[in-house]
Amino acid sequence: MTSILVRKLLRDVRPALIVVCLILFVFATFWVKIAQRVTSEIAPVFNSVALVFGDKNLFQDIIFKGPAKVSQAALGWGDLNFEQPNDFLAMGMLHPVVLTLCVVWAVGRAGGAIAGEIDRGTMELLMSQPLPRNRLILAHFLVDLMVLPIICLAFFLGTQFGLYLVGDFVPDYTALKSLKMPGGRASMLPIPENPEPLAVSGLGEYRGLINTFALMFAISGITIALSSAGRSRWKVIGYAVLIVVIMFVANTIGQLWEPATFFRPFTLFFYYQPQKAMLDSNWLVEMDKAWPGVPAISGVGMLLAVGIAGYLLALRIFTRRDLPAPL
Amino acid sequence: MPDPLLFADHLTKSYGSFRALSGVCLSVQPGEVVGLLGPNGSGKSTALRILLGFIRPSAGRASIAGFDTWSEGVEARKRVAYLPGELRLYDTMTGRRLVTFLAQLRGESPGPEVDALAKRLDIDIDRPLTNMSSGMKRKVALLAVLVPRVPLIILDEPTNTLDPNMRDELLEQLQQAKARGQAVLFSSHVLQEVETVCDRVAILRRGELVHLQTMDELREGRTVTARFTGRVPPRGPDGDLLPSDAVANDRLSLTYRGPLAALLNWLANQSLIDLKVEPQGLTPVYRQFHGAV
Repeated sequence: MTSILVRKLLRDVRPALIVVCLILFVFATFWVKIAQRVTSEIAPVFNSVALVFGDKNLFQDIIFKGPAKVSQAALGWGDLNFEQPNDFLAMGMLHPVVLTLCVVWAVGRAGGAIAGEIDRGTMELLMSQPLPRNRLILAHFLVDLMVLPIICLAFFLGTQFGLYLVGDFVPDYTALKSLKMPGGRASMLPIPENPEPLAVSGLGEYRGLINTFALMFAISGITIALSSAGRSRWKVIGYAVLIVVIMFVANTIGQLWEPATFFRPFTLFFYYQPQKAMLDSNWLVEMDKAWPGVPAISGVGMLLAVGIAGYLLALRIFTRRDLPAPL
Repeated sequence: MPDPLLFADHLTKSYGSFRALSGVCLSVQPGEVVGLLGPNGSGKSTALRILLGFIRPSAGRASIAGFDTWSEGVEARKRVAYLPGELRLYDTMTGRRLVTFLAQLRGESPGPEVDALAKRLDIDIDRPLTNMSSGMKRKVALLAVLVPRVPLIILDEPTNTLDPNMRDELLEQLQQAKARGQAVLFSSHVLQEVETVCDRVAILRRGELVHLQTMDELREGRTVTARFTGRVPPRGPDGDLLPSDAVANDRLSLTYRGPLAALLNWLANQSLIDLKVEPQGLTPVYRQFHGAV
């Protein structure tokens, strides 16, 4: 019975799933190209110029101040190094396009799971069959476990495809070499003769994408809990988006303003650190950044726990509530 | 009398201070067809929704084949097929896929009877539901209800949006279901179709069951309308004094329940100018509780 429901739900999400996977695949591919351009064409130029003045971080410091510092904090790029291709690839998982798609998918699907079925009026058709209500929640849980990894896989494959297309990340100093000093003298900038290709590997990205999966699952869990209590899909989606946006803003403010740091662990985004998992295989979130003395915990574990709690809450609500007539 | 297939015991449903259903008691025997009548807001759909386990009664209980419709809802619904009043289907499916999907949820796989029934109902079940009219969709939903051979069929205003031919076909299908031993409980606004197929009728008013009557009793009743040459005699066919509201000058309008021979004998001894004797039907009964039909 559950497998029949799961098959039906998978059929329902198929068109949207294909679109989301395609967008993520294409974005990941382009992101590799952007990473190559920044790390092997733009960064070497700035670094060479900065070295003349003895300050390697000169340009990075100039670029990332003011509003750019806010964006950097909001998107969790704080500890990343723009000259390293792997760091730049890791930023892809924190990019607004990826975060927005993850939120839209998780909220949209889970929002429609129960409230949408009531809203559309098809819940009566379904529940007039000898189908336990908990099976419907279970079916949605299983669909999440199947579909969310597919979305992450699309991003991973996009990165691998991009790396295949782009090839080696060899620092390019052509522009600097062509510069002439006043009087036609050759440039005095330190330009390597035969630069080595930069180390780049997207294989570690799967660790970061486990974090992305956990984030989507957590958002889905919160949304399905709301959905199980609601009767209008769009209201549920509205509330869920509001919660996610409040969490995102609270986490950003917490990074920029010391007194608000305390609130960061109450947000899902505090536990979403795919860059650390990808680059250092570090799954732990340092809780003492916000709550001194509290030991580090697993970010993925926390996100999965939130998702499971959401599903359990949905189960409790949905199996006890009256099913309202369609709107 | 065998145990009832469906049993509602003082079913009550309140929403805050509003009582949608109040102490409704009803039973349906296997093979019986029961009509639930009442205007919008009288509690018909609320009663059906409790019977299907969609909502929990505030007081009282309901059972199907002995299974509580809330706490043992799955077992109860194994014995029920339901057609919702507000029909919404999965528009991305074809008719056949929908029927198969619903049958599979019951652990069944529909056989050749689907095509035979589709032919009788005149529907192309291989068309996507999104391309079907509301009447066609209702026929597909009816098909899905009629395919499983469950002991009880519950229909919420089933003839909505059906054309007259299809309405007759549906009523015929209900008669066949009854002949197979299936019980049917259906709500309707159309008195004529209730008269045609039902064994009993229940009338709801503002959440209360105000009238329950077998159709046999109802069919025994006759409306006698007569005009006399002189005054209307004081006593009626059964020898009792005629009620004052039945008499107006030389005219009599009476509901008579008794042996037909006694009525004919009494009429034969009157000097009549005009006479009309009709089966009573549901209309005057319904009007008694809900005003003009």
